[in-house]
Amino acid sequence: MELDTLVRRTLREWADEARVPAGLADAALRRRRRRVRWAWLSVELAAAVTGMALIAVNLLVPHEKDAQPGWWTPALAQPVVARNAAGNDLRADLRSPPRRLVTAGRAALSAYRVGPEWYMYDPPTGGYRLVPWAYVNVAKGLGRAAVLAGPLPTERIGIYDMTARRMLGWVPLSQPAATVAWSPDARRLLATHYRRVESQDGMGQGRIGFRGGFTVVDLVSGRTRFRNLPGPVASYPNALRWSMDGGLIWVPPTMADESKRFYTLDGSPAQAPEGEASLGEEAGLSPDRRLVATNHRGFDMNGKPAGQGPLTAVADVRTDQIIATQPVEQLIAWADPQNLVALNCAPYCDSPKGGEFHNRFVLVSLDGRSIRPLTGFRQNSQDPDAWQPYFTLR
Amino acid sequence: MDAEAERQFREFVVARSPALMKLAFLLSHGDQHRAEDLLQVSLAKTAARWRSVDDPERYVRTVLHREQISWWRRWGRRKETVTDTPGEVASADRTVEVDLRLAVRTAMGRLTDRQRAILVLRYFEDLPDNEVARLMGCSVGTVRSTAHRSLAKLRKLSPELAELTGLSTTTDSRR
Repeated sequence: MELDTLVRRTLREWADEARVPAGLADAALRRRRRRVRWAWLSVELAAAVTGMALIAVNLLVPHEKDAQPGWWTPALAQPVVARNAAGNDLRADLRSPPRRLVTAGRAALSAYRVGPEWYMYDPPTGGYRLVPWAYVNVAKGLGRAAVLAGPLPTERIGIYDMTARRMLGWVPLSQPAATVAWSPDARRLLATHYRRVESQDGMGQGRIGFRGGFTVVDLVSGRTRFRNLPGPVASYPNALRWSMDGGLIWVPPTMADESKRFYTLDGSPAQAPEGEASLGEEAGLSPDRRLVATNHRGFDMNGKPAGQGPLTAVADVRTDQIIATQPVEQLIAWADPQNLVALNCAPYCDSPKGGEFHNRFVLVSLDGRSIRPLTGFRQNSQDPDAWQPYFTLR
Repeated sequence: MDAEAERQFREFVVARSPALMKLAFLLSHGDQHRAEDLLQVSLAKTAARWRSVDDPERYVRTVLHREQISWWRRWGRRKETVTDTPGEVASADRTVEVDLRLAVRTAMGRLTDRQRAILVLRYFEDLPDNEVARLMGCSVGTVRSTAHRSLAKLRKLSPELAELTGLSTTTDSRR
């Protein structure tokens, strides 16, 4: 039998396992009406007084804990800064993946992932080191990491001192978590919880199910707060993130809801800080909050002429007018008010071998005229085994 | 949408949802929950333009593909995606072909979204390459080379598939 025949038969048989949900037309029509209502509600919210208590849509189940529980030690309250990562200089390593620390202005490549394996910045050597955890998030300053040991989800967060290469302690959680994120001030942690689904055959490890909620851990006081915030399955990138100043948290859009939803740390819906609701590029707001990196317009699937190449833009937050464009694929992080870390496929963008997925990280100036490589090329960035970078402020 | 248009839309959904759901299911790599979301969003977008759409079926299928691609393009590449490995299915009295089909499913999970979408369009939807290229927003050459590389990768990922003979002649002669 030929492989394409087998693929055809497999797809037909597999498709027969799809279940048609009841009330599909009603659900689609409701969704359309809800979008109109949300647009209206957003206008109402914008007019509301900041900080006002809003409609609580979720049942809140607080688990307050008093200060300084058994797991807490003074060492956990102290931010650690890796001195040899400090500064605002440009350090490139054109190997792929890089072996020496990559930095650009205030941003640094703190870790990267290759399939299930994590490599983290290693201050003693100045390079990257394979670490044994299933999830890693490096704090501002590149001196501490929050780590989750596999299999995920798991009920504790490890705090690791990267400069001394030692574990500072473990924070127990009341629910299993699959991701964790440092607050911008590197004093709090945000863990996103997922249900654990046990494997059917009793042999495999548990799997990650629907999102259940989140916990905010204050490492200065030792206080932990769990809140319900149900969400879709973990195959969505739906882990919670901090707002720019760490005052709120937000949920990324899903196919069903194409908006960022902001919440207070108590889990109540909140108004997005100015400029932060943008669905544009990952880099988001500039350090002075005046500019915002907006959607890339290249490779448009909706009728734009092909072959015009990738293009990103930066807009004024207040007027929404584009003030500059850059010939790159994605804007990842602001290095300084004049330069951004970006993903760039040139000169391979139009190459049939790889195309937009044959790319590397660069530093691009606001006006797009200066592009300096930071790393080597990934031949196919969509390959599950391609290295995926994580940038952190230093 | 007036009452008559809504009635027509509902009739269309009832008649065509089994076939559309199959497509959404394959594009979502067998994830029922994500497939339902994908189809609902695509139908909602179709409802919004119901009056101006001449061929609803073709329109929904186009939206399905574009939603899947554009959503993952924008958000799927961001790194917070949590992934886990599906458990091994317990083996029983499988025929050789059942084993091979399971191997294909598992290996397809290792393809990129784009590679998988091109295989679905070619081998499930049976679309000609120029139509696949239109939907994917790339050239016919890219469709052919991507399909070829995707099949080669399936073979590489599964030793069982590596033993199969080459592609049937249709693969390279499609237009």
